[in-house]
Amino acid sequence: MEYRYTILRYQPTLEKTEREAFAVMVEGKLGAGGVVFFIGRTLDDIPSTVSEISKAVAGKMPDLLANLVSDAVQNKDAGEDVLDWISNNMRWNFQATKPDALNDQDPVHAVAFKLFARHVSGAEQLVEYIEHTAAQSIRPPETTQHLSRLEWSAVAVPA
Amino acid sequence: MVFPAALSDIRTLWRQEICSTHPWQPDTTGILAPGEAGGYRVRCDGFPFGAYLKPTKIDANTPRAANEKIVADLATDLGFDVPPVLLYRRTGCPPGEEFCCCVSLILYPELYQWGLVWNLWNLPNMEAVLRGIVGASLAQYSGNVALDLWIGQTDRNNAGNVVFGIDPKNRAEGGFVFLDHAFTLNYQNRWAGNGWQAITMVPLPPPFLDCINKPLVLAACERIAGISDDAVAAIVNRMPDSFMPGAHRTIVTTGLNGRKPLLREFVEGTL
Repeated sequence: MEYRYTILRYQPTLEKTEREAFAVMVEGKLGAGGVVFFIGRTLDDIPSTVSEISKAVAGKMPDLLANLVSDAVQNKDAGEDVLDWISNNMRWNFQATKPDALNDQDPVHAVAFKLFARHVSGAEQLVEYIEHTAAQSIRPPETTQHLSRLEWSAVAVPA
Repeated sequence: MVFPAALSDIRTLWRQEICSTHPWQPDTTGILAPGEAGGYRVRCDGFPFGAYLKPTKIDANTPRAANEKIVADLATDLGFDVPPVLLYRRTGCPPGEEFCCCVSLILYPELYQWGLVWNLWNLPNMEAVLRGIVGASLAQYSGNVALDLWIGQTDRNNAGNVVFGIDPKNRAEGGFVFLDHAFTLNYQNRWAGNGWQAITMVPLPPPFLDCINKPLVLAACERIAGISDDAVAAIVNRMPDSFMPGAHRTIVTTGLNGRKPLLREFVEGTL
């Protein structure tokens, strides 16, 4: 199957170039519609020097992204995918990279976990933990799930 | 917004100048989505948060960079919430990309697109408080609707075209900043043949539309009506031909000056 994905990053201040990847979003097609799967780790090490807004956005990111997917579905242009719209609108302290495509035979959540382990620093241990203890129970959930510092959610994209 | 004091000299300078000769370098934060127009963040010594360079995509029908510069200069003179802009000729421009660009100054170390702000207030247990605070804050920016009407803004109903900027080290300086003025003025030659006479309501996202303060919009219309025809012409006519040809400049000048006295009546009858 063909998927598209974007890496989500957090840059605490635009005054410095330091940033960290904290999540991935993967978009897969299902018939005429699709699904966007998000997996990320919570941003626990936010500098104390950033604003309360930054902390609030970071703390609510999984829920905010679910809302952003809904916005994208409503507002994206013809020929634009959900991830295109999201990455066009996340250019500042919370960023989404230009979407990339890949082919993979695994289901969307498995692809997301693989990309998460590859692109997010410190993700390997979290993914390994998931694979060894809870792999059998992973299903695209209806609401955001929390396990340690790992969060994931799936949002259906209507046709 | 309260314009950051540390950048006020830069704003004055950028209003006076037309083209940037600064050695801008692409930001090392890597590849981000370029947006509809194409663009990316750039850095240069002397500008703490850098700037945003655009467009990179060629648009034969719209002088996007010149539109951005003209609107930024008008906004600076009239006190609207638009960042300073300079034209910029890209060096080493890849084939097939636009080299007549502009740089828009980034004013704050933290920026949040207003679409994200609305999504925050839609979260459980946050809506009532945040709607009240953000709505009251946004209402103070109602005057920018007058600017958008004047320039014929078509791209304001967009989650990313207004951002909330804040400097945690100086919270007194911050607020909403209105971006993206490429699709304005004689966009796609729509003001030719007296097309400028058609004033239509700016498409606005409901959270902003719901809190607009009409007296503030009317006061802004008065400010716009007060700028002289010569002042407008001076801002438009200094655009280099390569960024906006002379015939196009004439249409823009005629349109801006012709629309000035029409705004108040339009607002009275529409808002």
